[in-house]
Amino acid sequence: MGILAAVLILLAADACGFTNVLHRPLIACTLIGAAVGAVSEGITAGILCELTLLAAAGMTIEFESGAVLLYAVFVSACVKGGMAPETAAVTGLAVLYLGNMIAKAVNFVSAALMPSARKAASEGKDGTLGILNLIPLVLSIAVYTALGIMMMNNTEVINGFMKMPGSLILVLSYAGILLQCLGLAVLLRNIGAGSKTGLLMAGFGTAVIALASAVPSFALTVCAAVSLAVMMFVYESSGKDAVTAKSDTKKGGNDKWW
Amino acid sequence: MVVVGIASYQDKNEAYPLDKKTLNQIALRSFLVKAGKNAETGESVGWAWAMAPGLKKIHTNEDDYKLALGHHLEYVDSGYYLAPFAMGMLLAMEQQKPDLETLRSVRTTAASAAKSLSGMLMCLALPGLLVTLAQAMNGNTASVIVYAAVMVIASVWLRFASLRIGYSRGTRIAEKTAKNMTALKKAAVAGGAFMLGAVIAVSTAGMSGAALMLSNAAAGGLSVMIAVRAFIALGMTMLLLYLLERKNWSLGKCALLVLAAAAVIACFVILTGSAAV
Repeated sequence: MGILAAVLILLAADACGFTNVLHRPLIACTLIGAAVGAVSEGITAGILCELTLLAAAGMTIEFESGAVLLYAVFVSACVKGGMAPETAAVTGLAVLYLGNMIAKAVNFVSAALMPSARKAASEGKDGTLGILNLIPLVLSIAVYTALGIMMMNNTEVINGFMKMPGSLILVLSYAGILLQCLGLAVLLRNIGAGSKTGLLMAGFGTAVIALASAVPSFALTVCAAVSLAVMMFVYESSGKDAVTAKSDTKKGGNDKWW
Repeated sequence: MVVVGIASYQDKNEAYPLDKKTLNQIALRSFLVKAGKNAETGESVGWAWAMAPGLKKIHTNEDDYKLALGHHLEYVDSGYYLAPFAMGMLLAMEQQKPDLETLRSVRTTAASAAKSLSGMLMCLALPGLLVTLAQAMNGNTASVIVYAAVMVIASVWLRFASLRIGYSRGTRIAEKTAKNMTALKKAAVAGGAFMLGAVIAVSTAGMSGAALMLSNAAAGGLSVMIAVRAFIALGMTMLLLYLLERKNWSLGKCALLVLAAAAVIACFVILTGSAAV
């Protein structure tokens, strides 16, 4: 149990920070399998999880790292418990959804630290910012490790969680999604982009269209490229006005018009 | 509640370039950028903390340093592997001490580009993953260990290399564009506004996918779900912008409104069993 807990802490920490590599199912399931003395079952579970996630990526779907980790733990636990790996990989899809909601709920709770972070910044205390940065990490590690250990002991526990979202987790996860709007509204106000509604809507529209046919990363890449093009165009055209006035003066002798 | 960062730098003189030691310190701190992720401002706490050593060197005036820390606490989401690239670009821009609107806009675009490129990098790593999967299916456990080691090393290397590249490229771009600060500001705000629109739409996409996968809906359902969520996010953002700007609401009051809206949506989902939101 001690080794399993240590592995889960390592995986949860890496999923929420550091290299963000070890939570990938193939690696996570192998490590969990090694911790419980079932490496080959772990690798089988990891392969099936990876293939499922690849299929999801083909359907333009991306998941939070924490959700992927919980999925890997759940499938490992099911395979270790004797369930057919294919069945476990499909049954575990619900865990991906639950994991995404848990990640959003944890993010919402972490937002409570923002007033303290703003105060620390206004006092120039970057050390305090560092501590405030670690609190959500510790919270995430605790949540994912606890859920992981519970699932490894009894996969049925997930059914209880799936019934629970009816209330608190659902509200918190939606609040976690919508609270981003507050951060974005503050940024919009501070940039002064409120006056650039046309460009804002153009960006929004481009992203929605791109999202319908591609994963969010690709949609963002398209938008970032267009945004850079917009920047270059506006910069060049603003700069050109000034240069044109100068060269006209030099070439055409327009400086004598008065 | 005070929102720090609405002002301009007092010391407008160009700062000295950052040394290698400071850049390495920032690269090391960038491993924890995602750690403090929160729902309101994304990774801003980790981002500001990671940038702090560079900002301290650039802003010798203490008030400017506090201001810089403050405006970097605004919404930012830079993904995992290439966040240092965006940081390098921003540090290069910070050295020129432009208007904060310019910095905010460049940060939004650079961070979003870094996030999207991180996702694309994972696609580039796909052949490696497929080879490993094939090897693992044949019972080759060592292939999984090699794959993990390569990915970890690549992730660490990317942090340091992308910060250097971002900083050196950013310095070149900043030095060129800083000659015409007015045009730079105009361009940055235009690009920033476009990118912010995109970020609003993309911010809700992950949940849609998970919900869709669970509900076994048809592929066409995904587009509807993404559009519904994106428009809810857009409506909410514009409402909050109106309340902040025109009605002078505090952030706390806005957060309570968000919580109430989340409760209403959750009730709607529970009562109707709808996965569309």
